[in-house]
Amino acid sequence: MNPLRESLRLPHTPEPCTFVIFGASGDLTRRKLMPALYALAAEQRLPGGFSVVGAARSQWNDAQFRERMRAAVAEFSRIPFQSAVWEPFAASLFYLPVEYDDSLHHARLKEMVRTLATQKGTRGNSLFYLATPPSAFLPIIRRLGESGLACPAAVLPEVAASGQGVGPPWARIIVEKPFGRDLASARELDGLLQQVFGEEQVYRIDHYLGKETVQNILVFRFANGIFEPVWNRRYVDHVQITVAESIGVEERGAYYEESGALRDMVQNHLMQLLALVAMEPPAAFGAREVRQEKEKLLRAIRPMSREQAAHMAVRGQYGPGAIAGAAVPGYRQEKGVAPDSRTETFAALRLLIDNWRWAGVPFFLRSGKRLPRRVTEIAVRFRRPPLGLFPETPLDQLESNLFAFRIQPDEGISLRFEAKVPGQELHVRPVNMEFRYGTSFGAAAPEAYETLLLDAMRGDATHFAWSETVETCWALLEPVLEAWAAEAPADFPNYEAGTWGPAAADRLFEGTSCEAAGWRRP
Amino acid sequence: MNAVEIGGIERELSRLWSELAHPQPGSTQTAPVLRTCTLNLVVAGCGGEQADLASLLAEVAVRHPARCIVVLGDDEGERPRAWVNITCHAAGRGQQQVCSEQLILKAPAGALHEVIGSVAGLLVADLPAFLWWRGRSPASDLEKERFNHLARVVDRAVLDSARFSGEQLAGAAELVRAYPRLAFGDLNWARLTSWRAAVAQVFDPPAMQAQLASLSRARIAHPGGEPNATVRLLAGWLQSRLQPPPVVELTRSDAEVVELDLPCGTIRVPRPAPPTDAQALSEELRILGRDAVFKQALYAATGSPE
Repeated sequence: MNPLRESLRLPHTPEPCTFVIFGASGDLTRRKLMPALYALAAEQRLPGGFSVVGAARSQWNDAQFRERMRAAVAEFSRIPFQSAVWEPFAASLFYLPVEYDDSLHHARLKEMVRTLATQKGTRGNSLFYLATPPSAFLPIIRRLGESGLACPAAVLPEVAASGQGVGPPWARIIVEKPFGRDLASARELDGLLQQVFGEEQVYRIDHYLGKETVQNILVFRFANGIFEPVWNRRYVDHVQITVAESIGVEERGAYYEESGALRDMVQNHLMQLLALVAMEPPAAFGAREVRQEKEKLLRAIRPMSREQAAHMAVRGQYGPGAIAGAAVPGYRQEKGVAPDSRTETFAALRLLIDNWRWAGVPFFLRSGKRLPRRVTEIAVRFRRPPLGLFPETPLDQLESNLFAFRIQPDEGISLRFEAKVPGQELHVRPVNMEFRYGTSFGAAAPEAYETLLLDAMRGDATHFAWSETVETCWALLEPVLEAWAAEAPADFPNYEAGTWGPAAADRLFEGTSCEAAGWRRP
Repeated sequence: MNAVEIGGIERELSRLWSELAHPQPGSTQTAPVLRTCTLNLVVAGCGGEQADLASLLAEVAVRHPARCIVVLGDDEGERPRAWVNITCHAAGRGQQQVCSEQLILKAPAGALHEVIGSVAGLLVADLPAFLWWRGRSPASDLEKERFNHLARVVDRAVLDSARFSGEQLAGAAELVRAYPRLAFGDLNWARLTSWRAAVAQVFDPPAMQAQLASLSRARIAHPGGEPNATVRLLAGWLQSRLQPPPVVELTRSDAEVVELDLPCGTIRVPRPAPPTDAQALSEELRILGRDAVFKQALYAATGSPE
């Protein structure tokens, strides 16, 4: 450990590197990646010598790329656009039109990375981002291997060979979800990644893990002494995890047809949230320790058979309805969607975790499009008191205590507890105690991609998914995917846009101790 | 702002909050307000203009919504008085105003001690309390007494050694030693953070870390005559972090540069642009506990034993 870093107060500035974005002309770069990089530049978090190479099929040049990214930053950055920040940042943006499977184009890319390495002093450090459709992942990874870009010593062999008082250069690759579309394809993708890169070079990004409120789950649980003693089956009745979107598929109908809610949201975001809220405390807050505990938790989830999937998993598809007072079409009327589509836009599961902490506690997960509002939350509902002491408020009218982690929007945590209503009688009503991120700390939190991109540049994989975790989640959901593929849904569309999903989702509570509770209305 | 009696501060605050929560017809206020407080900040000592202080505290409040209690001497006043203000800024996407409190307590020299005594009762419960002691390290008996009184009610004291002479820096080291239960910070130390980070970054690669043991000599170039507290602290930092401690020469130059003599050659690390006072204070307010590295650097800079 560098003794000069002790208590330095500043996070470790990453080494200079070249950031290559495959798919740079797409929406992800425009809405998320470039605004995140701009924010990092504005806060002086980027190293000197940092540069971006956009690589995509669009036939742009450097100037066109910079102009489009300028507009993107002006529209989407959380930090107001300032020319004084943008101009020097834009000077480090470059663009190369590429066909993803063309070896000649990759040779040109390698030459560009090499030139920048020399000019900017990056020593060959490279960060690759796959912001392309999943179909392009495999060819890009292969070409990165063949061109030598995956092996940084190959970019500047003279630097690597001379060992001029510096460490070896690095190459890392960030892979966007989905990581495959089932277990087999996930293993194929992973196999190629491991062949071309080492696991320590691979960063599987789930942007939820970069959200302040998601990282706050571990802080909440493990930086406070009062919650862990009740965070178990003795006190917790059940847990609900909801990722709701009010938007439909918009322009992504063709992509969503190949995906569906289970692949798009449950396999990654919801399973990660489940792991964070249910895992054991890690021995240390390092990438390996945290990921090991998450993996351990996911492996403890009781597998379900295809037959069990019928009553432990529910799918839905939205029909026409109204959101925020405006009529919206049904999924099958969306652009790029087949009129008889079987793709689910809603998925809900009931899971059980077979370990000492959670045995018998149901975990309900749901995610869907065209639900009444956009909200992501984790609700931990506690058991009621053992007896009712207050005759004017019988036990069955007492609301159980509830912790709600609000991931988005209006990020924060709330605790619901019972309190006496002012007056002569002893009536009891629930009240909320709230902590809101946006107003408790004064300063705005960084966006998730800012945190994760910086982590990747620094080589910190704590908030990225592990290959084992990805495969464990696919293995858990395979029976559901197979059951749904084997039998066409008889009732699609089965929920109206603007409602909380199909009625069948309520049946997941039947036969459980929390049958009376039902889904929360967040 | 109208002056109120010290005893009327809380009543005046309640009145102001009530006004903000229920704006009168014709008021220009449109967004709802939220009272929030993450810490107490007591500002005492001397030095600097009050107008500059007000704008600095408003800037700090954006990151650290707080109750600020400013204690000032009042050469013209006849008795202790207080002024109460609430400053607000837009939070997040601008839909809500996050507001902090500023209390300015003024008293003629003869009554300043009583005013200082009232600070304890004005601190918001259950929140960290910081003391920013402006100007020189307490030197006179009166200054020491005032510092002592405030040090008993706060969790952390922040000095500013930027203009300390060598003797005053030694006085700061004595102050740190005299209050073992109090955590100390220094705005000047916060201004060094980016420079220290630049030096530390040189040794991040493993191959360079191996060369640290060979760092036996360094030079810190500084403008001006005598070495100031800034470069002394930086030298103290290098000497306290490394074993064996390198010999650090303080040399005159137009530029501020650290030069490190290593087997691979001499590496120069110029000073990055230092933060503003508001940024430096914000950094110190993020730290709730002791800064052992700062203490060790201060002792090494002044030749004080630990």
